Amino acid sequence: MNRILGRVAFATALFLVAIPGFAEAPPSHIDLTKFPATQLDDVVVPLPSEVFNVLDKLGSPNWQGELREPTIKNRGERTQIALLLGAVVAEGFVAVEAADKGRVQRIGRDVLELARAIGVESTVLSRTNSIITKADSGDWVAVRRELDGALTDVKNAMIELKDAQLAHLVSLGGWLRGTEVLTSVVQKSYSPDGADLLNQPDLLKYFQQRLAGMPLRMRNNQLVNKIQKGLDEISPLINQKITPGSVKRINEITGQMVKAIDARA
Amino acid sequence: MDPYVKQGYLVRDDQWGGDLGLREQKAIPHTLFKGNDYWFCMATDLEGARLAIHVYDSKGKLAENDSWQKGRFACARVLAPATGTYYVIVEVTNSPKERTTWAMVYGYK
Repeated sequence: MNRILGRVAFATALFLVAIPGFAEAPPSHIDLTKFPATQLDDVVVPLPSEVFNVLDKLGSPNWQGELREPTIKNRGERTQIALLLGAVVAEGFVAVEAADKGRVQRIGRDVLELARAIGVESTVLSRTNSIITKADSGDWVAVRRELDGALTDVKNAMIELKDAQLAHLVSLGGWLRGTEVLTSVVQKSYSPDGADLLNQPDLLKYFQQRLAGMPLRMRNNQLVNKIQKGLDEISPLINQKITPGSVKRINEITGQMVKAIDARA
Repeated sequence: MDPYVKQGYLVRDDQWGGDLGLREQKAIPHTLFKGNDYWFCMATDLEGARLAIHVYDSKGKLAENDSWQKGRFACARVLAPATGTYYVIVEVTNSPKERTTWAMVYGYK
């Protein structure tokens, strides 16, 4: 991701202050094949809150029942820690949905500990402190924002440390746990709108290509290898009409992968 | 002042950017979720430059519900009609320089 202007604040400020004016009418249809620009670097990986924002509108699932306890003490190589970090942040969103203050605060501390384990602790310290205090006051919107921010900060810090591969694993860990929860919720109360949220073939392809492009040393890692196989198994299920059966199967596969991340294998 | 934030949009604390030549376009693929309401905004710090931003679905059909352009800023809004890949197309429509740096952010609710 380019940082040409180098100031998120600048871009955010324009978002806040700009006043609408007239625009040239855009064409109603374009030929996407003329854009060589669908390069992987530019794919936007959505934040977990974008998915949970929609889940909020789909009803009131039993979020407490969706919570699980990640085992962050069982740490292995950096690849596993990166995946676990992403999964723990996604767990934070579930805890927010469940309005479970204690769990959110523990997750805040877990994020800090995992960030420390891969050398990016200072990047997320203020975020994790904020998660803990905002959870205490029940400011769930702010907690979500800090969780999103922690994920972004960790990934950016890894990229700055020339560890972009690990940054992708953080995103992937979050996506896997997010997808496990999403399929669990949709499975319990199936609706076409809920199932439609799984229509993410390009995002899945992005993760597959990222794993395939990793150095051999990382691809040979047992956990990464297992996740690669899991994604290959999910791919045909997501690339067709999503049925209750495919939702169930995707839930099983992502559940197995999240367990493998926890167990380091 | 901050109309979108006041309307409840969460602005992602991240940005995408680069530089483009005059009338050069770039596509940024993004998975959007049905039920979410998005605003994509881009800007440049180059005085006199004008930008455009529009959002298309995976078939190349214009998907935005609203858009505007003013000076160095441009925005497009999408209420995603279905979950899937959309393409945010950014373009420099006028510029005093050969290359124009730009940045994009987005918000959602």
